[in-house]
Amino acid sequence: MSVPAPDSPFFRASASARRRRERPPLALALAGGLGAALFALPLLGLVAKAPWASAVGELRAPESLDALRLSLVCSLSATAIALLLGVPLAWLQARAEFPGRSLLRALTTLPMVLPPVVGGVALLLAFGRQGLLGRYLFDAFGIRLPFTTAGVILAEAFVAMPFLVITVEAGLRSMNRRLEEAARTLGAGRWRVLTRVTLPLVAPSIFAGAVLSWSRALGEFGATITFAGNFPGRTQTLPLAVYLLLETRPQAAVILSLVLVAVSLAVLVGLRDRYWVAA
Amino acid sequence: MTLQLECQVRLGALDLDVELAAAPGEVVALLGPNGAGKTTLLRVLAGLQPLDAGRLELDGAVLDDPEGGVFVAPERRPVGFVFQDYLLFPHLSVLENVEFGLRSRGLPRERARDWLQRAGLGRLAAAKPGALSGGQAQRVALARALATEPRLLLLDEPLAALDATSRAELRRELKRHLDTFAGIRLVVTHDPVEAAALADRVVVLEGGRVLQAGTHADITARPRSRYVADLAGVNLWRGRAEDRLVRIDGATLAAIESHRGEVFVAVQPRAVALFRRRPDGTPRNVWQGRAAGVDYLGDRARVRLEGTLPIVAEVSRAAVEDLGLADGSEVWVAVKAAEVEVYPA
Repeated sequence: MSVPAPDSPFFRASASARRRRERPPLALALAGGLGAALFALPLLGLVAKAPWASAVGELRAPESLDALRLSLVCSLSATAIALLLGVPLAWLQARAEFPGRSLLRALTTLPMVLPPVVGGVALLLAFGRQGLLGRYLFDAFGIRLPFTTAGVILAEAFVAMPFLVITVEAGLRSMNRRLEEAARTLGAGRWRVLTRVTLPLVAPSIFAGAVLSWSRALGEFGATITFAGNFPGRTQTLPLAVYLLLETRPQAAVILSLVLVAVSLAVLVGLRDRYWVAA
Repeated sequence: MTLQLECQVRLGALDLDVELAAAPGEVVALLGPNGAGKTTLLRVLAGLQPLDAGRLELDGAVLDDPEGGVFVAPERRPVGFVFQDYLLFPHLSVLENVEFGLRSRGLPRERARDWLQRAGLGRLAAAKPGALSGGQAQRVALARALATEPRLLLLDEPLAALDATSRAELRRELKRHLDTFAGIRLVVTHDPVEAAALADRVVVLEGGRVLQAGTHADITARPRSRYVADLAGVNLWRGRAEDRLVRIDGATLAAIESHRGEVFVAVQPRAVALFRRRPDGTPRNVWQGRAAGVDYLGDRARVRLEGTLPIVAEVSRAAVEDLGLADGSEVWVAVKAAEVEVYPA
């Protein structure tokens, strides 16, 4: 049997067949392309219209710096709360048997689909001065949450924690539970199993959930403005500042928006391949 | 160091009802098909599966007694467990895996290195389990379990995850390691060779019940179930004995011992002789059969025969050629009465 020459029709045919096989159907490509444009165009708008020359100056303006600092403090605190309360909650949802578990699971993911403004109203009714719990907090301890920095953190935690809970719960459900049994036969009590086996094994999920929560908290707007108001230096985070600056100094709004976009994009690109697709 | 277990557990389709005892230093093999309840039995002993009813006692200490309200948690039992898939902690190094049990039980963790040396794993101390071969992982799992100095060691199909070539060698090595351990050892297996090589006594578990227990030789000479007979490669029937004759379906076999009632009848394939013409010698049991398949094992051949009493004969390859045996050939089958093992069902 002789080998065909490299320029023979045999090779050309197979090469073009390979190319054809890789090309997606036209209709799909068109619709998909349009979909991509829907995401890309607004970003392009931001980049194109950004006042790059004055960018540094806008960022260093006092209200920008205040908003940046406040956003960092609040979103990181909210993430810390989410970690502290969300990991145990995820563990309960994944491992404990109790009545109403599916109801609890619905409840803890509700903020993901709830309009944030509604979340803010609900927070006011619970933690406001006249609220269900807020009344006692104020009367007994003089603690006031609405329209304070603590209120911002609470609103952000409320909206962001579900991302951590569902990510960690999924991690706990997919891990090999028999490793925990192996640990117990080696003499490890339940606490030691949790801290030395379970948590290290779901660490990637905890990390991914924390980063997702953090970026969600960083972008929080609706619940924050409803529950905590819009006071510069105290409750005015980056998204709130963007919204307000749009009226007075639109150029600054664009720059701050770009900061938020850059952070979110970095988070998504960083996480996607390692934790979502691979898992 | 004695083990005493009365175990009743219902788990899905499994209804486990077993009594098991082991003497100090004994190695017991649990042999049985999949779904027989072997692994569940180990889990009961380790405390990973509580008893529904019954009682578990080790060295005079009650570990599980539902009626008495006693249940000792797995981490507080002096029991080591080598799992079938080893279950090494993937986030810890080999050394940390072995240290895990020592630290959990408050023993000096310096001993971990000795255990690794003893298992020939000294150079792999820093490796992660993901980088180990099957045989190495098995040795780490064994070292990890032995390091806590348990009084009862459970091994769930310790060689099943290994390929055939390394299995024979690792079986010898495992035997060596098990021999250095003084406590009771319980090995789950479905390989009779493994059971024979590793254990003093074999307990056959089928459908959640103990069908048979004894030395490997006892069990293969007098199997009490199709499963064991097939594993041991022995012809087994159930029949009714009347004095020295046993009726099996339509056939009758003559034996030497006298029995009465329901019996098992076992005949070793090597004790079955084949002839082209009707033999006129001493064998008491002679009938005509038809060859229905020949399997060769080296220079031996196992011939499956149909007829009044279906039976498997093991003869030499040369004999098959001399007889001109092919599928469907007619042949005379002869079994001496002395080779017919009859025992009560």
